[in-house]
Amino acid sequence: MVEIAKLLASVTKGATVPSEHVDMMWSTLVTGIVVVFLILVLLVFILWLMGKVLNMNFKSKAAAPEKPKTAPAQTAPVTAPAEAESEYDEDDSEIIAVIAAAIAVYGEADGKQYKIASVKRKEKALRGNWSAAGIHENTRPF
Amino acid sequence: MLETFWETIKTLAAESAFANISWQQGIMILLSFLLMYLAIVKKFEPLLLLPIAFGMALTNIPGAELYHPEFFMTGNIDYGQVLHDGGLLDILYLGVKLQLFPPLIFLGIGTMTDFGPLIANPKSFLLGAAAQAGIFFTFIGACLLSMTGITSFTMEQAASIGIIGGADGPTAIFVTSKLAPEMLGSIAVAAYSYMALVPFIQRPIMLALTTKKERSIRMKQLRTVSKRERIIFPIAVTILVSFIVPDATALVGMLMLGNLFRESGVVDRLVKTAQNELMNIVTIMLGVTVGATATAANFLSIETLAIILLGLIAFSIGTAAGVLFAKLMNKLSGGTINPLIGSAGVSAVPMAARVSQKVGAETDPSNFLLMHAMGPNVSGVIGSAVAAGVLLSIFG
Repeated sequence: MVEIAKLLASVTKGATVPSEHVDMMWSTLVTGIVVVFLILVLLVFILWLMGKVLNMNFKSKAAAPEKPKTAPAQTAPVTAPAEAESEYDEDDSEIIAVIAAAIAVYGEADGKQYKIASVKRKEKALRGNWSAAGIHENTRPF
Repeated sequence: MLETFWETIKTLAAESAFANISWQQGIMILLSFLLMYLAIVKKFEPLLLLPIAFGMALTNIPGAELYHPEFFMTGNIDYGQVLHDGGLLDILYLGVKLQLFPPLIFLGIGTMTDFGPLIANPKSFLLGAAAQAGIFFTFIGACLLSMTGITSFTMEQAASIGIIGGADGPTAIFVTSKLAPEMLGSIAVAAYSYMALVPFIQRPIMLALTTKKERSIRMKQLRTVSKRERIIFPIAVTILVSFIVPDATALVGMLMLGNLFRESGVVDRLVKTAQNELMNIVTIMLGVTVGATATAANFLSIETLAIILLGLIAFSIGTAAGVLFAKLMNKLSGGTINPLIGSAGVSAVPMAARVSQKVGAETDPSNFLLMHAMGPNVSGVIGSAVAAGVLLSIFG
């Protein structure tokens, strides 16, 4: 590459960058890219290390209180939603009541009666509906 | 009495700008109107472009003597002369010349930046580095243009043009005010105009370099970042970067000080001042004085056209390098990285990240890349400050 640039510099007239600067030009390119990468790679390593060290405590704490999962198989007619139980805390009974009511409404429309076999919490969604809506709102101008 | 009145009127008319304006100054004032239009109507980075445009108008009014480029062109500036004979903009320009304003802007940016996505996914740093390729390749381009005799850039000027590719206004001003102050106006206008045009410049490049399959890659949700990590981050970055490239300390140090203010949670008052009042005051002074350097003699030249063209090339190469590097990382990681986040490695925050999000959503509306793109985006700010430090250490 250095030769090409030197050749270019020698065949063109009115050059204001002297050909002895050609070496400097390429060395700036190489130095610049190498130093920028080197520093940022070092930062990647330091951050990775920092994440590992600082999160060790959290992981060991988090591993301990994990509860054994109970089989949530419960059957209840929609007319008695309160009987449905959940492996989660008490507050869920309200949510289950709402779900059961919603299903009952759908059932009424279809002329069918559904039974709730079990109420399981879905795997945590990638992003909640509210935060998804927030992101959508923030990125809408584009 | 009537005669005195008439004489006064005649003197006023002879001294007025109407009698003394050159056509070049006229063009510059019209150009400043165009920039004001772009800032006000088209909303092109109005916070900076509007004061820049107005500064440009002020400096080209003959007889106003607000700014004297000749004071600053000599190697040794006579600060006594600046203070004694200088106009309003000469005095304010000292903040640029003494490199006060860009680091203060960085302080404000630091208080507003959330480095969480970067800490959660440190690999983003590589994308921020890759996108800086635009700076160095454009530097080569500017040197080659001079070699072929089309333009007459010195190496220092070529370096200042290249830094436009960092897509970071304060960094570009920081480097140019030291290496090529005569080109400050043109470079600042080019840098801020292209930053406003990021969506239009980046989108076609991103689409051309990625397949539909790649654009629809969903990325794993980022882990949560603890407060302790957020506090250690700015300190660690400052120490590491400043130890290796001391010339980058002013920018990186102030950026990280601002971020430490924010993350420490104990200096709310300072955070508010840095991100509002201080930042706004400095932005006004920086904008108007950078605009003032765009005098007709400095601005109306073939070099300005070359700067505008090379600036576009710098942005494009930076974007392409980021996307291509992200593609490489995607291949190596077994298809877990959406290459669209690579383009956010150019630092225009948060515009570049929003473009990644937008282009990703065009392929799959339920794919949210914004937070993933913020990692490369904020690392681009650090990357361009490091690149600036490298250029200053070579040519400064």
